[in-house]
Amino acid sequence: MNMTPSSQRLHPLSIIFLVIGSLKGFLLPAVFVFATARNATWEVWALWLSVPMAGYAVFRYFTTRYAFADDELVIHTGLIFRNVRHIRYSRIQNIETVQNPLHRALRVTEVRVETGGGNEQEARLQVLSLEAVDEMRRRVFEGKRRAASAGVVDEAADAPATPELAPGDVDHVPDVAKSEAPRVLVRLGLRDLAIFGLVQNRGGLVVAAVLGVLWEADILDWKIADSANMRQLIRYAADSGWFANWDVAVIVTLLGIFLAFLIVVRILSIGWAIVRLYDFTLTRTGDELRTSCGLFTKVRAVIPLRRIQLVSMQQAPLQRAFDRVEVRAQTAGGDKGASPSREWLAPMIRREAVDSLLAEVVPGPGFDALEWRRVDPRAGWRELRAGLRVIAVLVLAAVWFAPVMTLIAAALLAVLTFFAARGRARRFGFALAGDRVACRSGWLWRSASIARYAKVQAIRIGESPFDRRWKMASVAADTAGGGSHRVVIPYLPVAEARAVFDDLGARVNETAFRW
Amino acid sequence: MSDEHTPPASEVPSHVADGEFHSLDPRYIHHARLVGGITVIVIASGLVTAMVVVVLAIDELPRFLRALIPFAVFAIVVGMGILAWRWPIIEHRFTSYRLDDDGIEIRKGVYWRNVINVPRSRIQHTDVSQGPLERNFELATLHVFTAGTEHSEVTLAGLEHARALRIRDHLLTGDEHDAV
Repeated sequence: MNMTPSSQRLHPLSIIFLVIGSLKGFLLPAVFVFATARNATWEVWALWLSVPMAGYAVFRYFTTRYAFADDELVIHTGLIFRNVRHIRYSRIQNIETVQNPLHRALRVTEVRVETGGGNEQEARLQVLSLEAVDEMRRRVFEGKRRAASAGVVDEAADAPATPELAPGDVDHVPDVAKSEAPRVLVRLGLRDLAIFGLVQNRGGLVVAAVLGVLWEADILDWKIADSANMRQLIRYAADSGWFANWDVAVIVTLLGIFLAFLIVVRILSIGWAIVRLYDFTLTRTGDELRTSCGLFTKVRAVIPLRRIQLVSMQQAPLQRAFDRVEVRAQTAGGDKGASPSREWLAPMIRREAVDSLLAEVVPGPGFDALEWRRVDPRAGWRELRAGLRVIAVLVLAAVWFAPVMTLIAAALLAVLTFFAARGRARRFGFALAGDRVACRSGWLWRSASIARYAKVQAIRIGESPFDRRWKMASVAADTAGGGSHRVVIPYLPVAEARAVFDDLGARVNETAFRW
Repeated sequence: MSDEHTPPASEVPSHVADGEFHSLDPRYIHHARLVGGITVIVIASGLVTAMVVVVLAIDELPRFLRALIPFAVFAIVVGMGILAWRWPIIEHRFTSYRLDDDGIEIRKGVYWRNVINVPRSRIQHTDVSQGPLERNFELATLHVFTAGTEHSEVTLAGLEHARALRIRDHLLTGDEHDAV
């Protein structure tokens, strides 16, 4: 390691900020605790935990150093557990500074070195003086330029644009993009939004939020919903003379209340969808996608096409009834922690329109054009066995309490498991084509994803003990886009899994990853 | 995924990217046993304390339980001890790695076996870390960071420290070989 000896410490004020940082997690709850003070004893005791944390902050200051080597930033941390982090200048996307008012008053800043990947910033230096940051910026970007001029393939050319990709920051658009007229790819009408609300069923969220606020504010008096009103309602129902006897009246009333609740929740959900996603529009301008939506708060997001890591399509049963799917694009980099609405290419789109949308986003064969390969035919049998095993355990646990009910429920579950296993096994599929790998899964809730080789970060082949018994393995391709659906191909015969793993590895290696 | 017996890391010449699978440094076994032993001692003292408290505090404990508890505790501790002694060997047998110009491939896991391939062009940065016990055995842990989600950090513990540094250097000086 050819490290220059100019190893540097953080700014001495770091101690203050580190202490504040470590206390902050306690202070807010503490204030809250004292303010509400229901029964606060253990929380008060927990406050003492903050003392060692503050000590740790001081320790961190004295053990953190950074240095500028020829082509990388080197950060040392720890004394007992020593850690040395090397970040190549060419990989650094952005040196972000975060200043709260206290930082500004003391002329220091928190520094986040972003390389765009992973789940955390690559380095968070808390805090540096403004001069130190300037020097860091100068040396890092000098280093990037050196690397770029040395003919190295990297993202140096793209990097200056990166800080401008913050969501909602529409004014900072590279000139290239401005030269092309925006084209609308997706626009949702009210009907689509209503379907979306129905499908998503976020009404529960609204109800939960309202209940939560009421509970915290101590307004909620459970007696409101208590027996008196209920009994009155049931008596009213019974008195109407529609029901044979009291019991039936009780059951029907309760069912009615439950149904009414479900309907209200769905209606709330539709309302939620309209507020959140009103006039959802996806447009393409040059190499950028932009989404905008929202009734009250207008949310705008910019997704550079090259930032898209993974495109997935999801379909719930209700969506299938309306022949709609949901399409998301997983991005990576500076937009960690961005709102999920940023992921949506289309919250709701006709199934047959998906591939033409994909043609804009990731040109190449879409979901329907791919040649899907199936997994091992024994997959269904394995799924069924696994399901039956779980049912058997449940039966063993419950059969002592209610034998008849348990057996009936188990039989029904077993039938369901059979269909689920068969459906899932038929649905599993994958495709390796041109520049992309794709996979699909799910029976009632279906998903499919596409990732380009250039966006694949690591490839894994795995064998569980169960896999080994059946001589199968799974292959997964990891991308920077962490959504709920990822490229995982289960239930492959071992030889085929090995071949797919090697094939994927070779194809990924042929491409260079660019942000 | 057969358990092949590759030469230990120390016999390999300085060039690390030979495309062969290598086992971890044999000293890893001693290190892992030490760590396991410490863990067992900590858990065992906790168990014994709990046992003493239970036996002293509960008066109406049935006689057979009173006799059984020490045996149970003893059996658990012995079992953990055997595991702490045996497991590192098994783990060592099932862990290996391969480096070539394209990247690094790590196979890990005894029951759940995985082989992870990280192409060199996808490595964001690397760490070589050394805990106090590792330092004692001249071992180190290699951390390879990618932009991925599931494998945003791939670790390989039990490398000889000098070798870990060479691997890191090999992985870092990659860019000029990249295909466009």
